[in-house]
Amino acid sequence: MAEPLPPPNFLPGRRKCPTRIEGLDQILEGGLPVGRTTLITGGPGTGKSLFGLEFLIRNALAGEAGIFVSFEEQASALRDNAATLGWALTPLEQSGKLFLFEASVNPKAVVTGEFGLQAFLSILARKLKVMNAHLVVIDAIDLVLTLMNDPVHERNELLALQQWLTENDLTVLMTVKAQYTAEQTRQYQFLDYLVDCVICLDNRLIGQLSTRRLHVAKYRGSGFGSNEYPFVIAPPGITLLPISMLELSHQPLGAKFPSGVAGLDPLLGGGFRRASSILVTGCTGAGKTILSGTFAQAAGTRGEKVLYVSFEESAAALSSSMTSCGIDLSSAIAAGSVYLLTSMPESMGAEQHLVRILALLRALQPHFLILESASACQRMGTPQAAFEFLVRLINRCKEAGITILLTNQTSGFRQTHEISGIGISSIIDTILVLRLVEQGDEMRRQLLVMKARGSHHSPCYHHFLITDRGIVLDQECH
Amino acid sequence: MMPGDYQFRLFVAGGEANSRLAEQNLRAICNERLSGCHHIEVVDVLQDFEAALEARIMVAPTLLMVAPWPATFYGTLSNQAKLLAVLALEGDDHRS
Repeated sequence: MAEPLPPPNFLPGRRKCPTRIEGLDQILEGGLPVGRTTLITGGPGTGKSLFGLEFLIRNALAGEAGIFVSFEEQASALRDNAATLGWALTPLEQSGKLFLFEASVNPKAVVTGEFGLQAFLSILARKLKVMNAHLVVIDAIDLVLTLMNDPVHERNELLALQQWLTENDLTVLMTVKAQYTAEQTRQYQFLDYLVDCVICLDNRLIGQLSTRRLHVAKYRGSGFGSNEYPFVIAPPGITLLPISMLELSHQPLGAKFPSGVAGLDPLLGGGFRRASSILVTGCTGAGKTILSGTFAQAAGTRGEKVLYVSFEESAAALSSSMTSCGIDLSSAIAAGSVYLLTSMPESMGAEQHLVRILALLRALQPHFLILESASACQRMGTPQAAFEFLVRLINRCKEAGITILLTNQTSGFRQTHEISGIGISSIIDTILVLRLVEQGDEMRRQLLVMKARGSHHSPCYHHFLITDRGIVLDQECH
Repeated sequence: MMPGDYQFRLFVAGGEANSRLAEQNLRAICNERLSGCHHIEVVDVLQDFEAALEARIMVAPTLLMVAPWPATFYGTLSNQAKLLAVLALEGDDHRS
C-alpha cells in the first residue's frame, strides 16, 4: 500500500547538522542540510578553508567524525594553520574523529586524454566507512578539475561527484574560489543551482580597516538569516555576530547599588541600578575618567570585578591621573578586582575589538564593564561600525546582567545623548552630564542626572569638585 | 628486470573506458618500442584503495613511471607523441 500523502502545505523540517561555529547556526537556523552539499565561496583569504576546518573540529569534539579533503594544502600546513587559532588537530586524528586527506595532484604530471576522480572517491569511500564518518569538507577541488582543461568535462565530473556525495548521504561543505572568468561568471557557478545551500564570504576594506562578511545566498527548504553578517577569525575560532538576530532577552534592571561617588547616590534616588547601562557624557576635562575610576574602585572595595576598557589612555597614564585624585587603580588591578584592557581603536576593526571584549567578559565574568569612550570607537572605522559595536556590546551586557558604564566625549555642539551622530538613548538607562561652567573668574564643575530609568532623580545641575579624595558633590541645586 | 628497463605502475578504475584505453595505449607503445625491456603493474584503485592512498593517486587513469626516472601521466595516454617525448623515445626506433 502506498504511503499516505502528507497534508498540503506540510513542509517537513529539514534535518540540520550543526556547524557549532559561534553565530553561524543561528543564521542557518540550525546548521547545514544533512546529506546534502553546501557551497562556501569567496576570494583568496576570505576564510573558506577555516570555516570547513572549524566545522569538522567542533563536530569531532562532539563525537561526529569527519574528513577534510584538501587538494591544495599538505596536512602539516593544515595543522599549522589550525594551531594559530589554538586548535590541536593531532589528538582528533589519533582518536579517529578527523582525517586530513591530502589529495593534491602532481602539478608536473603530463596530461594526455581524459581522466576521472574514481581513485579519489574509492579512497574517500573506504575512509568514510572505516571511520563511520558522514561529514566531509572538500577544499579547492578546482585544482584537480582545471587540469582537465575542458569546461564540459570539468562540469560533468563535478556533477558526477555531487551525485556520488548525495547518494552516499554525506553532509558536505565544498569550498569554491570566487574567481571570475573572462565571461564574468564565477567558475562553477552552475553549482549554485545544484546544491542546497550557498554561503558567500568576502573581505573588504571599510575606512582602511578590513572587514569580513558572510551572507547566505540560498538555503533550499529552510529559512535563514538573509543579511550580511560580519565575522572575525581569531582564537578560539570564527565568530559571527548576527546583530539583526539579537533577541531582546535583556535582564530586568536589578537592585540599586552605591555609585562610590560621595553625594551622587541621593541624586539618583539611591544609586545606580544593576544590569543597567550608564552613559557619562561631557567635554574634555569634565571629570568622566575620574568618575569611572571612582566607580571601579568602589566595586573593588565591595569585592566585585570590573573589566575596564580604555581606548583613550595607556595603563600607566590612567593609573597616574587616578592616583592624583586619590584613586588607587594600580592596587585594584594587582588585587584582581579590576582588569584593565587598553588598546588603540585604530589597531583593529570594530568586529575584532568586539570579539576580544566579549571573550574577556566570558572569561572574567565581571559585574561591571567600563568603556572609555564611546566617542573613541568611531576611530575603529565608520560611525556605523562604532554604533553597531556599542549596540552589540550593550546588548551583551544586558543579556548577561552586567552593568555597563560608558563615557562619551562631547563637543559643544553635539547632543549629549548622541553617539556617533546616532541616538542610542533608548538602550541607555542612566545618563549623567558633566559640564564646566564659567562663574565669575572661575570654572565650576557641574553634574546633571539627565535620565535615570526606573528611579526618581534630581532634576537640576549640582556643583562638584575633584579633590585628592576623588569627586565631592554639592547636594544643593544650582 | 634489467637496469635501464622501463618500469610502470598504471592505476585504473576497474573496467572503466578511460582506464581501458590507457592500458591499451601503454601496452601498444611498450610492445612497439620497449619490447623485452619494460615492466607494467596494473593497480585497480577500486579494489586496492590502500595502494592508491599510499601513492596519493586521486585520478584514474594515472600512469607512474618508476624507472629509469620518475614521471606522472594523467589520462588515457592518447597523445602518443607526447608520451614518447617524455619517455625519451621520440624519433627513430633505436632499440628493436
